[in-house]
Amino acid sequence: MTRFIHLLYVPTMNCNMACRYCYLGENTNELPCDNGYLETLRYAVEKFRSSDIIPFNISLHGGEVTTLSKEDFRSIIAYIHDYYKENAELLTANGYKVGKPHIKTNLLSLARHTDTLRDYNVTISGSLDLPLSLHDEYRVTKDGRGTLDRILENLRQISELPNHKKVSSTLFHEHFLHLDEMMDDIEFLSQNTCLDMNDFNFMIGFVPETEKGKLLSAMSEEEMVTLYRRMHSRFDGTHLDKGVNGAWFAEFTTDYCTNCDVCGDKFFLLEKNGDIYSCVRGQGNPDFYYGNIFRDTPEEILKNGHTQIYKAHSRAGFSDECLECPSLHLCKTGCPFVKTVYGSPRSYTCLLQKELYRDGDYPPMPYGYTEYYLQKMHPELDKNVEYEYEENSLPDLISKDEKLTHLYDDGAFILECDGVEHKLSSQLLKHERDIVFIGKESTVKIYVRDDYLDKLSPYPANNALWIMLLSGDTVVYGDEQREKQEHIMTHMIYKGTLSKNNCDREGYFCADISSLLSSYSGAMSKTSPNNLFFTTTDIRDYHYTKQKNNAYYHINAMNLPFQNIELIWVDTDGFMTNSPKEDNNEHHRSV
Amino acid sequence: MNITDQYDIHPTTYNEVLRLAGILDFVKTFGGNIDNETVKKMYDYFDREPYGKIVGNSEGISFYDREGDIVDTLAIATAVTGVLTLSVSSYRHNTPGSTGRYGSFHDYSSGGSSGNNNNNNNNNNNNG
Repeated sequence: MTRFIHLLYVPTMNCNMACRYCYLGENTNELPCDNGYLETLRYAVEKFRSSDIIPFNISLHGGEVTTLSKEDFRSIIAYIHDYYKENAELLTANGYKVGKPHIKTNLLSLARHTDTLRDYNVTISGSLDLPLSLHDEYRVTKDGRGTLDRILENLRQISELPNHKKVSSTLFHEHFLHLDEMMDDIEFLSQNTCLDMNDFNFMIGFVPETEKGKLLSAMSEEEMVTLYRRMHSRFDGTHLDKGVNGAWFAEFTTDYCTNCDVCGDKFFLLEKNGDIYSCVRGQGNPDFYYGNIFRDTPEEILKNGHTQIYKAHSRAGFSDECLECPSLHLCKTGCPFVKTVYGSPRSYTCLLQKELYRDGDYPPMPYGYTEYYLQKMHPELDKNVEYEYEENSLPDLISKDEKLTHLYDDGAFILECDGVEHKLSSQLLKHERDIVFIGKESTVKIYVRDDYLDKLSPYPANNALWIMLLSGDTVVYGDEQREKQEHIMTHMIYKGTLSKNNCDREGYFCADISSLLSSYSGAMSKTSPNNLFFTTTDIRDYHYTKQKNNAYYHINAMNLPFQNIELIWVDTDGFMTNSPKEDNNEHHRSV
Repeated sequence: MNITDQYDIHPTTYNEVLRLAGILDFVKTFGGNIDNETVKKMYDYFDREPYGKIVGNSEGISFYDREGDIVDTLAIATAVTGVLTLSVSSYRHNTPGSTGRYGSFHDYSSGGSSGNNNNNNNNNNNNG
């Protein structure tokens, strides 16, 4: 299946400025042997493409890309231009706009690349500090001089180019203190430069703990809301109405990378040495490092991208406030990098986003969204939380008994049905029922972690995998005359037999139980889900011993405690119409 | 009228049959008034989005693509408790507990949610 990614390329870490708050810090000094600016990008794109991974956008970042020689800059721009041209049909067919070469720049050395900018219609996103008085204080040359005059002159020089030109400003508390001046300067830039100030972006700065008390401090969430409201108050209904109601706060809307569930599935930053990170925020941070294109396969890199970002969200946790928030589907808790920096489960611009959502035309939360999001992004959430269990509750009893902990281990069994993996846990501890649909052609395999039959077993060689199938239909029996699911079959496979089976999963024993289930299909309920349990003979024995010895456990574990799944047997002959054709749904055959 | 004609769904492969069976059981569990057209829509959805999900709760159902983006929502009132999440080959029914840090999961005092009574006191000892 073709995957499409956003690729940000950093061909050089060299920079001609020394902005006082630069996130790259000392890294703006170029390394020796500065060859191959284009070659890394070309190699990466070709390698991605060989794995059917297609960049739908290739943009340039830095360092400062305009410090490249005219020839190197032009060669990279030409490559990107040609890439878009060659892949226009593919991108369009898959719903992507065909872009133009795009650069992020400090605007200081822009004019010397005028020919290339013109010839390839390069779109430009510059960085300015607002108000402009602070630009000269913070965005300085390496010898500490202001850069504003030169930048404004450069903008004048390229004003006749038809290329799209915009700027963004990163705001901290120190900028916020000059709101009136800031708004005046936005107006000035709109009236006196070639910049499209309706396409201007605010970016909200964040300050790691290690930087607190130094140069800049972060705006409070209330200040962000004040900024938003003041901008609207001044510019709504003016010639900048489109901007203030659109691009100015676009970073915090649903069109931005932070709205992804897992941005590591789509966004990648490539450095000249082949290292791949999440983005400019995660650049240089090992927790947001995905691999190296010269060393790793594209599949590994994409997998790492997913895993690293998923882990970042998982580490950050999930806030009770987000649980109740009606805008979770729009926000998705924000940038995983900043959440990591702040050690917070919430977006650092939460209040600002709520203002935006309130004012904008956004759809209401879809049905069941919060639970769906939690299932997807935080399925292990409870495992990271230390509960205080009620005394003699089931979790309390489990926590105090090593063998019960072993019994209720939710990492011991995996059931694979037609290529789809289901991790099994005790029905007494979960609040969900998984129901699978199988039939005579289904492949059903049970995987048992290979230490599970040994651990706490007096004689592992005499221990066996115990499989129980209960019908969805019920009967009444026993001294209590309780209504219970009717037993269909019990099957045991001894450890020795299991260990001799070939297994395609490292660390597990495997048994194919397709024919076993098929042989009992006639006995299964046709109307209610049937119940399939897995345990071992030794664990089962311990469960009943514990029931006899501990009344609290007996009360809490009256029903079968073993790891399970529910299944419905489908008479496929009854459904099939016409002639069967080859089934091309490969996802059924892979996890 | 048989099921395939009722819903105008005519599976021709084994996996399509399983898909239809899953959707029909999901619809049965969900309750509410899911009309034939919606059932077909759900079935066809997985052709386009084999890795997508269909999620339902007491207010309606929503369609999600592989990346978790919302594709469509339908308001359908139902008495079902919790959330049902349907994939192409199975579905999950989450039923919330009354306590617990996150409000919806793992109320340990209430026990399992499957409603199955299936204790087995037979103690068939191993040989040896």
